[in-house]
Amino acid sequence: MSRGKSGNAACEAGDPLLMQPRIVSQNLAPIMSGRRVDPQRLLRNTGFTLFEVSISLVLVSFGVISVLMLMPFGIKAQQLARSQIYASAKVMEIMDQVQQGTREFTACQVESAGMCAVNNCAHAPDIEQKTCNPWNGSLAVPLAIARRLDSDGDEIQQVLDQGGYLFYADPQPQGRSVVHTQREALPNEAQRLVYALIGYPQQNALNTHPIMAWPYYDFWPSPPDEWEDQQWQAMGFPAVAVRRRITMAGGTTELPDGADLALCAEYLQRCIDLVRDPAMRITCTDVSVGIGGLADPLPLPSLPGALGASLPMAGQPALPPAPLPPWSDVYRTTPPDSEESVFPKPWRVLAIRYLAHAAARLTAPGPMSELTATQQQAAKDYAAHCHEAALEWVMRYASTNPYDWGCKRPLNRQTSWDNPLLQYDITRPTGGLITYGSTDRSWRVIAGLPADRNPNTYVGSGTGAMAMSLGDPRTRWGDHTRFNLTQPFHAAERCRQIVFWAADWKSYEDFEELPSAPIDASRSYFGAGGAYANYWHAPRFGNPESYIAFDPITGLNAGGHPTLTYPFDWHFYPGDVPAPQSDIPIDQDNQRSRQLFFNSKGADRNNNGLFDRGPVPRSVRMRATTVARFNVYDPRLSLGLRY
Amino acid sequence: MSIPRHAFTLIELMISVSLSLIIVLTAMAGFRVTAQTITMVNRLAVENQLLRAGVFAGIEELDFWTAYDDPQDRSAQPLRTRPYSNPFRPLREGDVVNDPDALFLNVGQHDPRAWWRGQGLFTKGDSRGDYSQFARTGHALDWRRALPEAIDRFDRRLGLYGMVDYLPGNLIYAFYTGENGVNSDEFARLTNPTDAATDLLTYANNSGAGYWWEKGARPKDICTMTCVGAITFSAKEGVVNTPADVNRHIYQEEGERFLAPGEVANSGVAYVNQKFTFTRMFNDCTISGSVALDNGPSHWPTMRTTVLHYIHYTRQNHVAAVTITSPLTGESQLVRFSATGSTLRGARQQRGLDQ
Repeated sequence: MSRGKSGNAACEAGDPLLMQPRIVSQNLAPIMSGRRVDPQRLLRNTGFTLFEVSISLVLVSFGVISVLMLMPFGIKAQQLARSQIYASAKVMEIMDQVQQGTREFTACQVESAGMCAVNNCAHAPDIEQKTCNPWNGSLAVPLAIARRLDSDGDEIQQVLDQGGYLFYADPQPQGRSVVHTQREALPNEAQRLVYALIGYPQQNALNTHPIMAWPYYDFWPSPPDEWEDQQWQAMGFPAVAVRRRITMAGGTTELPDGADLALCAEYLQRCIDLVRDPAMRITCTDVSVGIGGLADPLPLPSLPGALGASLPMAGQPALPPAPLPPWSDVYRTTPPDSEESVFPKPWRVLAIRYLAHAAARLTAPGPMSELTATQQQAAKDYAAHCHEAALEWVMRYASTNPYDWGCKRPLNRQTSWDNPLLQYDITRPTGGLITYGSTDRSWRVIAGLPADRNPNTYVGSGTGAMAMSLGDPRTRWGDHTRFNLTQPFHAAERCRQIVFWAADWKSYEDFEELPSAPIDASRSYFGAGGAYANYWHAPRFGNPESYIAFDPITGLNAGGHPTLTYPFDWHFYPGDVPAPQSDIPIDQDNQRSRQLFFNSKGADRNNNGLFDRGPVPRSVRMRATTVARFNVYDPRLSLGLRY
Repeated sequence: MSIPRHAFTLIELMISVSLSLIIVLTAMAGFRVTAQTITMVNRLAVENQLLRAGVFAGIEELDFWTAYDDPQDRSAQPLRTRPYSNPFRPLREGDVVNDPDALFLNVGQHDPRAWWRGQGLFTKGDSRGDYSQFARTGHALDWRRALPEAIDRFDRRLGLYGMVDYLPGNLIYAFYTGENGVNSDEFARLTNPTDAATDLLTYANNSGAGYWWEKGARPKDICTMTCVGAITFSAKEGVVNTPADVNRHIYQEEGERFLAPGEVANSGVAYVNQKFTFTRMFNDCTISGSVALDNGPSHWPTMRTTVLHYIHYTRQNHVAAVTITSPLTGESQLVRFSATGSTLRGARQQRGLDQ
């Protein structure tokens, strides 16, 4: 029998004498006093019960676990601090884009066929539109995912309910215009950030008229161009037939290289004819050669007699009269051009531009080689004087009335921002506007002053190519009395808030599979009538995720992943611009373009070049933690450092 | 009477040992987790402090351009004393009173001296007429030479970046340099240093290299820098058309800025003896430089802050990038952001260089 066993037996027998010394000593007093001791009581006092131990362990566990639970809080605090750093950097970037607009976005020459078709630039650019595009680094979270995110006060869902977007940072760091060739993914913490603008969008100035990206520019001097050919008569300018003769045979508006004296002289003569045409009402005076400096007025000089006699214009008055400058007393007092003293008529400015160009053309090597030394010098002097006169006229024109759109503005003029102030009249119902091939509606445009002349867009070439079919230009305008861009406002009225949250939304199984968030119609280059815009600027402002979209047509690549589209190239697919060299049937390509526009196959939203699926099922809701809030100022105009 | 001595049974002992072992192991595991957590938190805290400090340093540099030109340290002003292309050279230093450089500080757009006179439709050749008679450097009439000489002298004195920064955004950066300048060689083309075939002036009529300029388009396209590195060049001073030379003319020197030991950096975080090496304005689109914490433990992450100033589509761009890299894992964290920093002109005015 072991000692332990005998001890236990003694205890069970209730013999206090056999009890362990510790127990005896603990219970010595009642025994010594002769009182009867309950053996069960002695047994109960032999140690902690299991229950007591359990309770103790539970308490200890609570303590330990509580201490352990503090550890993640420390990590989360640091992660929150990290997120706040990224959020601060991002909001600085957003405001830099808003306060200093990217010319690619704000000043792009985008023109649409109708008032409400395809012109993101012109549609009252607010912060959302300025930052959410392929250039400026904010992309919209797919709506299905955004709807799964819970946040304090359900703020995210409220933004979505109001038609707003939840954004995520461009997976490529900002500075895209510099380093977009580098595949440089954002850190994970930054990729978890989502953000939204709290507060209602506000009405800002239009960058340009939705239909017409005015102002147009040209060099002074320069020859007539196609647009001026088209608009001269449309805008009711005088001497249409004479003006048309300036456009040389063969369809070009510029003499070819190597043109000889005869051709250059013919061009000059036609320009002279236009300046001298009575309908132009250019009051002239004869001024001899030799005017220099910057005398005011600076009249257009006469063609030197020696030079005139040498030109193949026999029998015709070779000397162009010198138009009086636009601020001459003659124009000031002679109706109906009484305002000429302040504002020269655009047709006169254009006519003198053509004349100056023709005079300069005479100084090219070809015609100069046919002249004597004296004639060469005379031709140069004449060209210089015409050149200066043309600049005087157009500078007066450009500096006086930004709402006269009859004449292009001069590239020779160093100005920072030359756009007229335009806005939508959102106080009146839409409708009734002529749109091109659709039944879309739009607000009318109002301006600080009614535009005196309403030319049509630049038809038939390049970036401004849109249909010239807008009928009566007056239908474009609203009631200018409601123009308020120049009204004072309190800065607080323009305050909005950018709220950042952190959520691991890119761990959803479908985060790269879902199509893009719904796209505002103004971003679409497909009108409601089904027509699409045939110019290359518009798609650049289409789906902001365009450059990371998966190609809907080409299928999987060698690695089994969907094929990425080429950044910034997809909109050049021949269906968008029906180029004759296209080998792809137009129908197929249109389908591709439409699917690309909506990003129907998702996008590479973590910028790793692969199609990824996260571990979190789509049925799981996710908590978005508030990271930071920033109050921002929403300017009414497109701003920039030293535009 | 003797009381028998009791001891733990083997089972009790084994149980006790086992429990003790579990407790010890649990404690050790907890300690290890705690230690790891604390280490991680400390690491995150250090990284966050570094990132925050780097962001502040970047903002500070974007605002004040101190790494390029330290107004408090004459030895740290390398961009004032070069033979040409000094973006921080005082404009009036040694200049005549009617310095054309001052032209665009004071004249308005109505002033005929500010009007550009040239052949805008084609970049070179005289087949469209001799436009050098209308304006050129050295012309007898001051209002016909003012703008060309202003462009030329801004280019020579401040470098191409300074020229673009000072002159109006839609200015046409081209001029004729000689009388009867009807040859393309006499037309001061500002050549793209990374591509000799591409002019900086990219308004060639629909067929020119680089960006083509559509007649009638907006002036943003007039000076489209096909490579941002291009405008670090002084086009008039020995252009070498290789990417390696992009930064050479103006920003060859590496700039460093030291904080004195114990100096509190601008973020308020007391890290000492920082060494900033910001990249110069352009480095062919590659940024380099470092910020080292010389007194920090060797296992701390290294931080690099770089800034980049460039002008693109006439827009002033100021970009900062902060990178921290763990020396243990090599893992990097990057914060890149743009901000509305000071222009070069603003930085010069901070230093009183345009007085």
